[in-house]
Amino acid sequence: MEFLANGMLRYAELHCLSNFTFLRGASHPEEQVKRAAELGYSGLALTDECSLAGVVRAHSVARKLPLQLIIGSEFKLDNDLKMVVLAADRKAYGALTALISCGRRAADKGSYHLTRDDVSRCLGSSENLILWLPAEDPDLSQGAWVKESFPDRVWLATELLVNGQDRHLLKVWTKTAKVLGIPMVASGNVHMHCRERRRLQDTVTAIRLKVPLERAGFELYPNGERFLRSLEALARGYPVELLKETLAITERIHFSLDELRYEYPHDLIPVGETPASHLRALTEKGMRWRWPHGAPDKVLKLIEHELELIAELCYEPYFLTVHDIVQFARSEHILCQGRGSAANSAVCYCLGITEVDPARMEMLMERFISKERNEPPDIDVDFEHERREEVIQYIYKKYSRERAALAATVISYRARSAVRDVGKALGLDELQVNALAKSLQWGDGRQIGSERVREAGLDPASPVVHRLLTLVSALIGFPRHLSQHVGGFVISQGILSELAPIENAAMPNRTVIQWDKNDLEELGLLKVDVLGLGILSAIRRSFDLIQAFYGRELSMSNLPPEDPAVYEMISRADTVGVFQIESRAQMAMLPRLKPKCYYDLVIEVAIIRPGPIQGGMVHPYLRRRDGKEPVSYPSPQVEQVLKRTLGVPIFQEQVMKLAVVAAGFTPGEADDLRRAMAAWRRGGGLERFEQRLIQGMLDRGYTGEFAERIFKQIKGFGEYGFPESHAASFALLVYVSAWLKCHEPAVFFCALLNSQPMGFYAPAQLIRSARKDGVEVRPVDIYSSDWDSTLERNTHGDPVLRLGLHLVKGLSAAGAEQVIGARRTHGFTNIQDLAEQTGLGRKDLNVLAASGALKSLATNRHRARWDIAGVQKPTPLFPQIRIPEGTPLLRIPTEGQNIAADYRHLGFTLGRHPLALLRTRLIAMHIEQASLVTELAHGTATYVAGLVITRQRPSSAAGVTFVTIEDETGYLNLVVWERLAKSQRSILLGATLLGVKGHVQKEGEVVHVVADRLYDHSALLGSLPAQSRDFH
Amino acid sequence: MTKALNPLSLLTGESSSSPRDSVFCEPRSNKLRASKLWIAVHLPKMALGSLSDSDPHEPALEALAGWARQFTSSVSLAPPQEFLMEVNGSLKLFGGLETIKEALRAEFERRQITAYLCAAPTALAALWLVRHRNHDVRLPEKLVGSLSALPLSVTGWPESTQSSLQSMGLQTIGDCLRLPRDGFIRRIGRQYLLQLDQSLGGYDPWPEFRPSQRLSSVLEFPDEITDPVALACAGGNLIENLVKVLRKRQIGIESFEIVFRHLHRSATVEHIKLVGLTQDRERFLRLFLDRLERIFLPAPVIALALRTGRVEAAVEHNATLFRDSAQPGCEESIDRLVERLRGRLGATCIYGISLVKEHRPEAAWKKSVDLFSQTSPGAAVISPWAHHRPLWILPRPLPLLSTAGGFPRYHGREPLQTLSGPERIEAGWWSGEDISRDYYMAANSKGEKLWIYQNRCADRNWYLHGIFG
Repeated sequence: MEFLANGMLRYAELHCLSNFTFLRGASHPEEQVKRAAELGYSGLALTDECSLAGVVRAHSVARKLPLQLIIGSEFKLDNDLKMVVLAADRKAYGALTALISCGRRAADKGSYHLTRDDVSRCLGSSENLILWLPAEDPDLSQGAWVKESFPDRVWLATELLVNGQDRHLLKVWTKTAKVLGIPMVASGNVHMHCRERRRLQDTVTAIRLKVPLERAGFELYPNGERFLRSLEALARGYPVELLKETLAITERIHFSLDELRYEYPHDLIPVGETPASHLRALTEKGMRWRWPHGAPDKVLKLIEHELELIAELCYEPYFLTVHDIVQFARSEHILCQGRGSAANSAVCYCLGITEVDPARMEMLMERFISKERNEPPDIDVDFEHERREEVIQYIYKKYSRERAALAATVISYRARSAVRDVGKALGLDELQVNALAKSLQWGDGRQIGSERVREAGLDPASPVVHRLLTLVSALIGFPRHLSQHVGGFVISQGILSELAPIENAAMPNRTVIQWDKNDLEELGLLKVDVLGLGILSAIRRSFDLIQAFYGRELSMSNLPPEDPAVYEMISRADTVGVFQIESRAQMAMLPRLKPKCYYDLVIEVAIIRPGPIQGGMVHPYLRRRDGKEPVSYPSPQVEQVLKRTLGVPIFQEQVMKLAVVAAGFTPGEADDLRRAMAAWRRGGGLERFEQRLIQGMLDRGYTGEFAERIFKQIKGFGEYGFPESHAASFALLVYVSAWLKCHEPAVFFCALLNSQPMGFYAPAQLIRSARKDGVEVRPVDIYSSDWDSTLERNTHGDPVLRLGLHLVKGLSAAGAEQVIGARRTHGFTNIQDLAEQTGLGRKDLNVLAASGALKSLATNRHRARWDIAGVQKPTPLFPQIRIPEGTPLLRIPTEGQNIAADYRHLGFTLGRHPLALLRTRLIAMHIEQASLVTELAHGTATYVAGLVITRQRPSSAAGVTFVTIEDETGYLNLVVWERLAKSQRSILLGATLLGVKGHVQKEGEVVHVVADRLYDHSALLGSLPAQSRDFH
Repeated sequence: MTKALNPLSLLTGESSSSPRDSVFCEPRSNKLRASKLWIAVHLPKMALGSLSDSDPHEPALEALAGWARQFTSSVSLAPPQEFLMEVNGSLKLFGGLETIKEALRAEFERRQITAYLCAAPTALAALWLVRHRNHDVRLPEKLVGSLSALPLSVTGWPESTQSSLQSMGLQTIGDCLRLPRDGFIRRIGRQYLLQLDQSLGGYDPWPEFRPSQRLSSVLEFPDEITDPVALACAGGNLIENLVKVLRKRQIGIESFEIVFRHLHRSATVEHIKLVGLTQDRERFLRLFLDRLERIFLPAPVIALALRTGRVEAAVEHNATLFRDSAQPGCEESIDRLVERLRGRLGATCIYGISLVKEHRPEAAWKKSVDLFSQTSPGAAVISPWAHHRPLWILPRPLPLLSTAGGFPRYHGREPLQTLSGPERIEAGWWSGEDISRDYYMAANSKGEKLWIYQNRCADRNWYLHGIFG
């Protein structure tokens, strides 16, 4: 054949969809690229429908392959005209992203709308190549428009898909092309990388149409020919000239994503200044603020060094951008703190981005930013979670929506959603599918065990179920839609929509770019993470309360540092509500680690993470700290890296540094290793580093055992390694919140309650903990409570916590406002009076009564409800209604009823613990109190019961479920092994009052009960609703 | 709270201003005419609709209530689960309350259902008591005491009302009776106070239950018979009599049953549904005889019974009009034909054809119950991808022999000439029949146009699937 060049056919596929054309494409972009290269294609255009969301993934694979990746997109205009637009150069690419942005911004999330005018306007005269996709019966007027709009740049795409009409269609289209005078080109309308994806493609079609496959009818393709066909097959199906034409097109294309150059915004640099001079000026100003009497020499040197490094890498605009955002927050009295590789620098401290004092810390910025790695600096800024939106809207306003957008997050199919959707498509019984989907909580991963299937009432051996499971495992990981990243902002100097397409997010006033954070990193684009953090809200509230109560001005920077009382409290694990170290696992660690200084907190934050736990770092570290094991280093280089953690790698940075100093990796390779570590769990790929790492270490004289251990630790770190740069910032918040709890518990818990929902514990546990710390807690009361919880003064002038109306479940904020407003001018004599003064609706009155807030107006809850039921609406004629009526004979609520009502309407009680009421019965059942269990010896058998507070199944704990239960004497931590959890799953997940027969496990001061058998005693509670917080 | 240890203990504290104001007024209950005694019958949900040997279309409650009318004319339904009978006047006749209750229980047992009974001087009291499975209360003066202990759930008041009462700590009817009347009306509602009054003897009318009418007659044979002619004859007589009654009373029926009773064996029941209300003797007879021809009787017949469904006033057709109306309406006569054909051949043997949106040719049509199914206008039922489909598709593809070169043959030695194709069809995997075929239009030497395919997987064999007209 004449088009054989060196014995090879040559072809480029110009119309190919990936699964980023959601529920149409049935292969990942990476799969498409790899397969095209395998088949010997010379080029592949990824042309997802009005989207470039998959191109970066394709690009990162194509980079390493002898395949030209072409960037393009498929469109269907409002008049049904279909076409593919390919970007031939950078300008054309910008026009293409502008067109996509235009279509996406004009429609709701997930759809687009484009007219011919939009296309003409956006593409203009740019070098975009157009494939016109004609119908079987071509509309000549459409063809004429395309030809007229894009002379010399338009082809008629000829897609022959073995539907019996190939010969006929070729004839019709050839005639059309001749009439219009446009060339023809072959293309494949590819939806999948290989034929085997046909079933999945049918399935996603049915899912898209929301019908079972049986009823999807002609919406399904009649055959599975829309895959990357072999060159031989193409040669059989298409005329030679049409295949050759694909190469003529690719030759006109000179664009790669590598050309995208990102420019930092210049807005913040005053006229006459350079970025460097401005940053220096700001830093020096900050230095005078931080050290009014002059900064220590050490700091001065450090700053000078950092500024040099920043200048060398041209990162000034980035620091200035973050500084500007933080400055805005500060002016609005929004508490914030930066973290990340660049955040813990002396420059950032001077700029107010972080509060981690470089004088107090042995921190080298180079530990976080490296010249060689050439990775963009990373600063995440946490803001008060309730006020982050203000910051986001500020950024949009400052840089405009054209220049700032949130990064996307790709929401992918997980086991549960895949089972639901595939089950529906296969027409399975909805109840059974839902049962199976529901049983797949706590991340069962890719494989669905046959016992789950059986539990859901399905037969794992039946062909339908087999089909379900096969399709589900293929569908898991498929992108489903784009969502917004929690706070990753991309800000650019030029118009962002010419860099990447922008679309609407589900939330109003939000726009996202079509790339996620990995994509941005791949292309070296810079983002600023604007995140929300609950503890910052609580800390800011605490400072405000202290200011109001004592008139004392506290801030993160002037809090007394390194207070021994605070560390003493932390070492007792008395940390409910304290940032980061309040979880069960952290609490178990604290008495062992006994932190004594700030850096101990940095370690504490980082060590209780799946990475160090799975890498087996925890115990060696503890033993070395306790002096039970000598601290030794295999070489001085390693000592330098691991000295501060006693020879045990705990931070992500240490692991990478080890690869450099011990195994001879270049910093760039170490960075590849970091990426591989992050991706390892998803797709492997760490093996190629294993050999190099171990050999590298052996070559440098380390023992095989050491090398193996380091590799195991790296593997264990996986994506869960925690960077020191983040831990350092977090540790500061740990200290601040612990200080507040230690010295001002009333203030601290008041602020925590007002910042809910956040943290690990619900108000019930926070209030309980506050009372344990000696805080007097006063109930919600119609006369005294504001919306928020507040501080009152007791007779000694000490603060007392008054619970706020916000804790009353179901009370409207407007209702509470009416009460507080009316209270200022009048008192209330009775409930009728309250209703008249406030105009509260019956629903608000009822929830107030049910929560016990009306105690001062009615003797008890029953009487309050009776009175509310009798409230008459005032009329203009009778503004005051007093109907005389007899006193009702009502039962007084029992203690049990009051407690149940407290739980139902507040979620907690200030009365006795519900289990105190049941204790006589529990004793008869031989159930022991939690406080007694802690005194039992290791290994003793015991029977306990309590309200379930939390259930946790950390991925690091090999299938173990940790349950915290609570009785009237305190908390108890249970360990439920996987086998028991499986056999008693419904009790484990369903019981409110959980009974456990097991045995005591003691390690130092840490006590667990290892469960042997679980019992559901919830019936004993009657109507008491108690809710567990489940984490996984 | 002195006895805090026991959360369930009742502590009464507040005092009522005066007992005269409370919901329960003593003088009112004295006015109670002690002349009534109600029995409430409660059927558990399971029992509803599972009564044996009665009309399957008649609700169980009504069937039982109808049966109970033998004891008193004053029977009332309290759907969905209860009915009431006022038996004071019948006590003497039937020998006392216990005898009547015994008879009722025996009937429950016969019908194999569990039901509960309770007697009380008022209808509502009987209902509420039976819902709590209480004992009888015969004396009016005992009523207050017995009702007071009942939980509020027996009243069947709306959920919202009950939870509102509960929020005030009211758990029993007695708790409500203690409340001030005016206060109760304002908060809970007058109708609920009225019910409390009625339960204690207030005026409480219940509409009388009239069972819907059915006709039935039985012909008992002196001996067991097997001869179909004798059965046909007996059936004819029954129908003759039925039609006489229908005509006389100007009523019609829409269904009837023929019951063949056997000795030592449960009866064979044949249900016959008619198209429309009618009193036409010929139709009854025809359908009866058709059925008789087909039926398998497991044993000789000792009696033949005919039972109608509900009777209703018939539209007044006179004989001639009726006959004429059958002629112009051609569709009607086809309906009758189908009614009879289905009666004879079985309901599934007569079907229509409708098109299905499916790529697989063999699944692209299906049988439908509706003979003249109209697919919605404009809906494409022919595949938009398919351009050539033969009108005649073979019920099963016919394997073709192939020549040495692998080309298919049909009726001759010469390989078939393909005219167009291939059309690749791959579909149906979701139902376990994944096909993957290349279809061609082909011609043989006789000039016949054939629709053939080659299997793409497995055998790669050729098949004939259809023939173009």
